[in-house]
Amino acid sequence: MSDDNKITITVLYFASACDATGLSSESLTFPLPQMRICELEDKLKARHEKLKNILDICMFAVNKEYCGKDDIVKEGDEVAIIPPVSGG
Amino acid sequence: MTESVDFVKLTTDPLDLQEIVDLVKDNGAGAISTFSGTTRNTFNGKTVVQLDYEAYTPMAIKLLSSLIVTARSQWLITKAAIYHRLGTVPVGETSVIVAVSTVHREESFRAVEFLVNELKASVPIWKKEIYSDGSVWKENAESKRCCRS
Repeated sequence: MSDDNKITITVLYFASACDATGLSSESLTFPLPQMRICELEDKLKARHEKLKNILDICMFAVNKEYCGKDDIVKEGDEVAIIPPVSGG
Repeated sequence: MTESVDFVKLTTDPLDLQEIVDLVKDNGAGAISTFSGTTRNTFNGKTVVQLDYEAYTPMAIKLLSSLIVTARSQWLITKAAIYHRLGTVPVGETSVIVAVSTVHREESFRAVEFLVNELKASVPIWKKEIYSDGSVWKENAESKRCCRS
């Protein structure tokens, strides 16, 4: 039974963000119907002390698309923390 | 059934340039340009022992495929391939190969340059340089960064 007043999302951590949290992913539930990326960012900073400085330079992606800090996160979304890339 | 013309792959296997050239080879194309990126042995005087690559694979595949679509909107591309290696890559080995076939050479030069530059700026792939006395996650100079509003 879905509950309209809370959301559960999956957060993915890569590279330096993975090292800082010791996690490659985690499932998080918030008592809100939805939230903005910037609100999620603040909650993640509070949750993971070592992630604070890293998050300031990271991009976010929701469901595999880059997004802005004002974009909305909804129930079931997959949110990836993308540190500066270094492919090639 | 239409023949596949674009090839995007992330793999832990060593990359074989000839195999990728053969993928984009086409009798209607007079030019094939390729770019090979290889792993360097030093950074700021420190000796690099090996490099470890990781990716957000589903998003990287999606973005690489969409980069080829964008390139196709700018140049007349016959076939294109982007292969990137993941996992441990020893120094001196190839970490990325981009190959494009076109009717005339100029467009293949431009398209390869575009695809390599965009890959380095925005595709979620990361490399960690391992030194004899530690390691560091690298950041491409052209990488997209968050700008706080």
